[in-house]
Amino acid sequence: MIVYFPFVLFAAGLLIAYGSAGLPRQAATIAMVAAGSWSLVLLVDPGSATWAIGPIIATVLLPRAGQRVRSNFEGLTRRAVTLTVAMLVALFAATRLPIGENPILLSAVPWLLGAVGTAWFTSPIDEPERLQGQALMIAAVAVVILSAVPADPLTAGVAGAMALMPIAGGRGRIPGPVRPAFSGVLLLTAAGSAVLAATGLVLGPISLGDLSIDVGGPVLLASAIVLVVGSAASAAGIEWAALLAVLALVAAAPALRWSALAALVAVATVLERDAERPAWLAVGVVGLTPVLQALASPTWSARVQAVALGLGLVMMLFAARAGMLRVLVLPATTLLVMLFLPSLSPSNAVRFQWVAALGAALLIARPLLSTLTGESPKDAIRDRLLAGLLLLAIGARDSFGLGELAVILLLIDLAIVRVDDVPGPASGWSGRLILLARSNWPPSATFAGATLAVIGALQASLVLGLLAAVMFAVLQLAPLLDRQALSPGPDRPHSSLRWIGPVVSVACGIAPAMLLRMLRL
Amino acid sequence: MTAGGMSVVFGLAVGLTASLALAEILSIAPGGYIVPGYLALNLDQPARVVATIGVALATFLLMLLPVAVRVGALAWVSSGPPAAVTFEPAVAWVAPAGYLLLRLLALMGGRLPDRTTAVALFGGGVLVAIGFATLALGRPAGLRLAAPLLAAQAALAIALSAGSEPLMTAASTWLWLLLIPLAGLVSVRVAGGSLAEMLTLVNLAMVPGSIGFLALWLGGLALGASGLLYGIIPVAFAVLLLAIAALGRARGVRSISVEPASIWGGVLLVIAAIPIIAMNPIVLPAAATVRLVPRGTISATPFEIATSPGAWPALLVTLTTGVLLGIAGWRLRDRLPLRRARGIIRWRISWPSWPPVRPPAVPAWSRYLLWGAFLVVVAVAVARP
Repeated sequence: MIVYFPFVLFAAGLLIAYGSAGLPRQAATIAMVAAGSWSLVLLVDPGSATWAIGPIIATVLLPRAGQRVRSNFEGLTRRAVTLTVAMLVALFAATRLPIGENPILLSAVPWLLGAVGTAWFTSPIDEPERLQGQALMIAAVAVVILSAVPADPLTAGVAGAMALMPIAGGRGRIPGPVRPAFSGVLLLTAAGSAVLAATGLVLGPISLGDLSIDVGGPVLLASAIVLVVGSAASAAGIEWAALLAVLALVAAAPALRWSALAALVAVATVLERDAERPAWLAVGVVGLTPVLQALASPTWSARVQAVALGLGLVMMLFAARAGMLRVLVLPATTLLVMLFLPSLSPSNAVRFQWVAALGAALLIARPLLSTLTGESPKDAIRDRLLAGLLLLAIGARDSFGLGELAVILLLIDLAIVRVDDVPGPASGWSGRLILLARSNWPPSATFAGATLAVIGALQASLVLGLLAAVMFAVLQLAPLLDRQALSPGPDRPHSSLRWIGPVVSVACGIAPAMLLRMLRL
Repeated sequence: MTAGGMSVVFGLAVGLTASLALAEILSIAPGGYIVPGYLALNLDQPARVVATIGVALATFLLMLLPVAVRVGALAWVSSGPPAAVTFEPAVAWVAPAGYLLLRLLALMGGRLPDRTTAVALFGGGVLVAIGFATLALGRPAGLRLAAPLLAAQAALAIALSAGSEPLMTAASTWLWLLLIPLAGLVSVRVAGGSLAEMLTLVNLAMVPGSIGFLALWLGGLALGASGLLYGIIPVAFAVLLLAIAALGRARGVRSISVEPASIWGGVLLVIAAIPIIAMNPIVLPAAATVRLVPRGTISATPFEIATSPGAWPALLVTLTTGVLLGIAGWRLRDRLPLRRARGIIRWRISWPSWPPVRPPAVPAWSRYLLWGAFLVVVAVAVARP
């Protein structure tokens, strides 16, 4: 009977939270978190209860108004439908992914916690509820994965602490005088990581207590990239978000990895909320992979993982149009997916390629369709073409690694080079260098990345190669189609180090050519 | 073994070991494994060491020269006044286009899926070439003339890519590879009536003795061997139009100066005259990546190209063409350019003015159809065994 108590506590907390305001509602939310923790203790082990510390502190830090917010019929209906649908989806997932012989009502509590967070985030009654929803979603990502892939107390505690990040994103800003020094430290760390990665040294996992981080070669390189992006192109004052991206890349425990990514999305959407829902959806889909790996039936687990990776990446590329989603979340997600891909079997890799190819076509068709429907397109076709090429390149597992190189170049192009506003008429060498860096000319990262993407896709298959070649050709006509590029675009974070983008672009455009020449490719 | 001999062995061993370790760690092969040992053995002769490093540095900078030229040219052209290099990126696009086509052919085993596709590609390529050559007839001398001429040659290269015979593959590879430097030459802005302009026009005209004509000759041999010699008729028509368009605008050589463009154009003609320079080290290996080119299919000597159906006295033809063009230019020097003087063709071909087109009305909800279709495909990808 005791195994049903967490569900009962959760249900009671949910009812009180919806029926009250102020402190009672806060206490009811804490009760729901406690129910999740209790469920985790019964499912895994008592040490995992440290997970609850973060979500509880987050709930305490988000005070509720004493009076209930007035609502109308449409709003109430929307909230009720959202909650019902989210709960049904959560219950379906819990029944399909049972944890051993445990009763469904016990193993469903973590999923239901995520459903409540999603409902509060999707149809919030006020801003604190939206933030609370984000905190619960991050906490749910951690607790669902912890119940599938258990971790030790410290790791569970840090994963739970990620629920504090939505609050930190709203309030935590690095003071102006400290920012240059902080950016410099990030750049130095990036340089160190890149050098270590270049030497090819095999470093074993590093453990801090039971918190284990993986610093193998590709992870170091990926960390260097997000650190450079974070220092050069993050919004003013929240350069520290790059550390979340690094944590997502280096964390060995899946719960910490994916909750860090979810926290990164929460921080990124503090300033730019335009496409936050697809971004959260992407995190949810990609974050399912470790759960599927651990709990799903082997007959369908591997193929659903491959499709989930592809679908999640497509959703993230769709969402990452501007702001921090583009400069930090997109590189982190893409690099995480790239680290996972080698584990796919050849048949599942083909599955991923098909989803990626169709996703690329979809990304390009959306803005074209917007022009036909008379809407003002929100994004540049050129960016969509680059995203499409990135999808094709990441699916190409060629023997020389040209596809991976193309992915990195295109990411750098999307995340660093094209973030600042388009400069005015070129004047002097600086203006010309910026024009060159943002052009399609050979010394730019765009040209190198797009060309390598086509070659990599050709190595994978003829169809993918042709599709990439067509995209490459249309990329040259993109300036004719991007008429809206002349009008002011959405607010984008401004770089504190304006020169880094152009210099990195030109350097990245030249370096692969030299490397390939040296490798005699 | 003497002490000096020991030191030689020791120096080379240490150098080789260090180089191999570097290659193993960085996965990048150094330019020469023997170089560190060599340098160590010559440390007592600083002049030799400095000279070696100097040559290495110069070679490295030479490799970066194309990029530096492009960067410099962009910076220059942005400043407004007429620049030496037009930044139309022909050279940038011809190279990947050629690579892609050859790579696609290689993936298909060097031949197109069926005869219908091959005929369509050949016919389409030749028709496009005729179209661009016709367009060039209405263009004035200079870059506006060169662009359609270059495009016509690229279309002929596509047409030649349709064949599955080794000779045809070699022909298309030759044309693709040499179109890249030709595109670079075309990008250089030259003075009217200069030697550089004349050399550029000769290369673009595809007259016998030029690099393009050699590819057509190889392609013609392949067509003849297949019993399809009549296929060369439309190609010849395209070449005739190209020659009229290019040479008809030639203004004669009024000034001879040694400049990069004239050297560049001259080198291309030298390659056409002595094709062994490019055929053996570059073209045949590249063609072999597309399909099997049996040994002996083409044998190049400094004077000619020999194949089993026939030989091409490249040096003789180029020299003869050069002499004939020189004589013609000297005799007609007062009437050049021919087409402007006589007004043979005064076509003014330009893009038609399109009526305003309104895109069809598409309902706003159609974007959900896109997502729905995508999700259906995702579901199929999951369900597919």
